[in-house]
Amino acid sequence: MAGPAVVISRIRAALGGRPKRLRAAGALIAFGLSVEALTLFWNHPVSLFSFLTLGALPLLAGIGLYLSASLR
Amino acid sequence: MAGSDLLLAGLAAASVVLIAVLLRRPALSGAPGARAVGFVAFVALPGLAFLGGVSRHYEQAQTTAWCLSCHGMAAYGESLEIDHPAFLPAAHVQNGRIPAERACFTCHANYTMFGGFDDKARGALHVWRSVTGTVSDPVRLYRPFGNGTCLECHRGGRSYLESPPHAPFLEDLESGARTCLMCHNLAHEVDTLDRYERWPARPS
Repeated sequence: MAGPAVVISRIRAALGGRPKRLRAAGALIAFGLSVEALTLFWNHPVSLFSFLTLGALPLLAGIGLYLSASLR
Repeated sequence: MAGSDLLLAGLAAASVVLIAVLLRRPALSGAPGARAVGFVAFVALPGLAFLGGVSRHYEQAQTTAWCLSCHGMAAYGESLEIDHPAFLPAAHVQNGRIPAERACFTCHANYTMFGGFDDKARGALHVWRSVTGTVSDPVRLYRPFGNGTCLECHRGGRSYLESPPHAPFLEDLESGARTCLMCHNLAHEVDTLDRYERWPARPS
């Protein structure tokens, strides 16, 4: 069973260098924004949940990934 | 579509377009100001769109339509249409004492500093129970309905202060020793709605 450090290093390896990380960040942000746009058209509690999980999490992960790639 | 929705859609679209341009033309990353443009595309615009989305959803989550969109709440929505002056929710909505489009939130909000967020956190639990099919039948409040919600509007009002039945209990009502619902006890009554007429003129 791989430990957390191994998992993190595998994720880093999968994301590769800076351009790959930027592409991943862009994809996550675009996906999150698309989900957010869709949820705005649906006035239902499940829409709020979709926004917070499928929309906000990838969006914030994308922003974090971009910042981590830029600061290196 | 509201103007704020258009603004949010515009922010999201601008962000996606800028990100696409920056990623498709890596040469641009060496241009002067590229870092600032990158920050705007990857952080500022999506961040603003996210905050706007949170605000929009929070606003939307306070509407009556939102609350009633869950199956378990249908009977509670029906109780707003009862043609009976002693039915608290119906009388409040039909006489414009509370805004019809925010009826649930107005009376079931926690009027404290972070009360609105507290309500929505509990609302999240409601959604979870609705989705997982573990809603209690009948629906029950987590804690007794407090006087604070009623007094938020009625406190200091002449009709409240000068009402003869209220006079002996004003202190008790303020302290919570006596609850408003002890006398005004016809709330949603979802189990007995069939016995009452509906107000036919209620605008949809």
